[in-house]
Amino acid sequence: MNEPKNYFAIFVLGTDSIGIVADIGKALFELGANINDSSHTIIGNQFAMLLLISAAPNYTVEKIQSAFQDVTKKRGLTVYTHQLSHEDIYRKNPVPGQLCVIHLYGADKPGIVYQVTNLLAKNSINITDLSTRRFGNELKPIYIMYLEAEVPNDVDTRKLGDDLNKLAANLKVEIKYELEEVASL
Amino acid sequence: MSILNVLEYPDPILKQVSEEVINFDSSLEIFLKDFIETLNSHKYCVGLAAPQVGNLQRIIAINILQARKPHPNNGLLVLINPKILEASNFKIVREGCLSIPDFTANVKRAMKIKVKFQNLKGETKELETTDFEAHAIQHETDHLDGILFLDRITLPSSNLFRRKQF
Ligand SMILES: [Zn+2]
Repeated sequence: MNEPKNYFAIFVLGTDSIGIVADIGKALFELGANINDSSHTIIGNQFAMLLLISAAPNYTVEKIQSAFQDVTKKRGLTVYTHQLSHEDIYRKNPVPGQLCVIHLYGADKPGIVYQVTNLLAKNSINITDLSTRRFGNELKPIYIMYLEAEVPNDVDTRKLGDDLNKLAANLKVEIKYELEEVASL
Repeated sequence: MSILNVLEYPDPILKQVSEEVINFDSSLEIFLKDFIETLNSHKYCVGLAAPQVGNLQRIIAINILQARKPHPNNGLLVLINPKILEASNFKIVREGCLSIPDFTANVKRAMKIKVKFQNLKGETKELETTDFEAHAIQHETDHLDGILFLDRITLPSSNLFRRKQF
C-alpha cells in the first residue's frame, strides 16, 4: 500500500455534455491511475473538473496528458496536468476550529466577493468552499453566495459577526452567517 | 481501567445493529468504566457508542463538557437502550466521527429531542435536550443501528446552487 507514488492535479474544462465524467473516468482507469479526490461543477454551460490522482512513479505529466487525447478530441476539452509534491497531497489541519457558513444575497454590485473574502482573510479565516451565482434580470441582476470557512478558535467571533453585519449594511445585501463547532463524535 | 481501541470504518462491526442491554450487572459496570475513560481520552470528543469499541450493545456516552466551546449540557450522560421519541427543529450541522478519521461532513440533525433511556441501574428515564447535546445523541444512537454520518451526508451548497432545468 505504501509504495511510492506520483501525484498529479488535473484540471478539465469544456462545454458540458452527457457522458463527459464517464469518459474522463474511463481514460484514467485505462491509464491505471487512481482518482484520490475530485470535484466537478458546472459554471455557465462550462463543465469544470478538478482531480487529484495518484499513479506509479514512472508516470509523467506527458503520459497523463496523452491518456486524455481521445476524450479531448471527441469533446473539445481543455486538460491541464500538474505534478504535485508529496506535501501538496494531505491537508494539514493542526487544530480543528469552528465551521463558519455564510450565505449572502442581494442586488449585484462590484466587489462583493472581494469585500467578504478580504474581511475573512484579515481575521486569518481559511475559506474551504465558495460558490457564487449571478442571475435574474440583466438590468437588475441578483447575486448569491455560499461560503464555508474554518475559523480558528482564538478569533473573536462576536466582533467577526459585527463586522459581517456592517459589511452587509455597506453593500446593501443580506448576509446570514452561522458559526458552529464541528462536532467530534 | 483501560482505554479501549476505537474501530475505524470499513470495520464491518460498525455497520451492525447492536443488541438491547438486558443484564444490568457488574460486567456492565466494568465495561462502562473503560468506555467512559475511552471517551474522555479523546480531546474534544463529545460522544461515543459501544459498537465503536467493538461491543455490540445499545450503550452510548455523551460528554459535552469536552467540547472546544461551552454549550448547554447535562454533564456526562450514559444512556443505555436509548430511543429518540421526538425530534424537531432540524438544521444542517457539521460533524466528524472517531471511527472515520480526517473527514467531516454536513448532516441534518434535530436541534431539539426527547430521548428515553435506562440508567446503569436499569431505571427508565426521559431527557429533553437541545443543540449540541441533542446533535451528539443522534449521532451516537445512529451507531447502535449501524448508521454512520456517511449515510446522512447532505451538501447544502449543491442544493442551493442547483440550476433550474429549462
Ligand atoms: Zn461516530
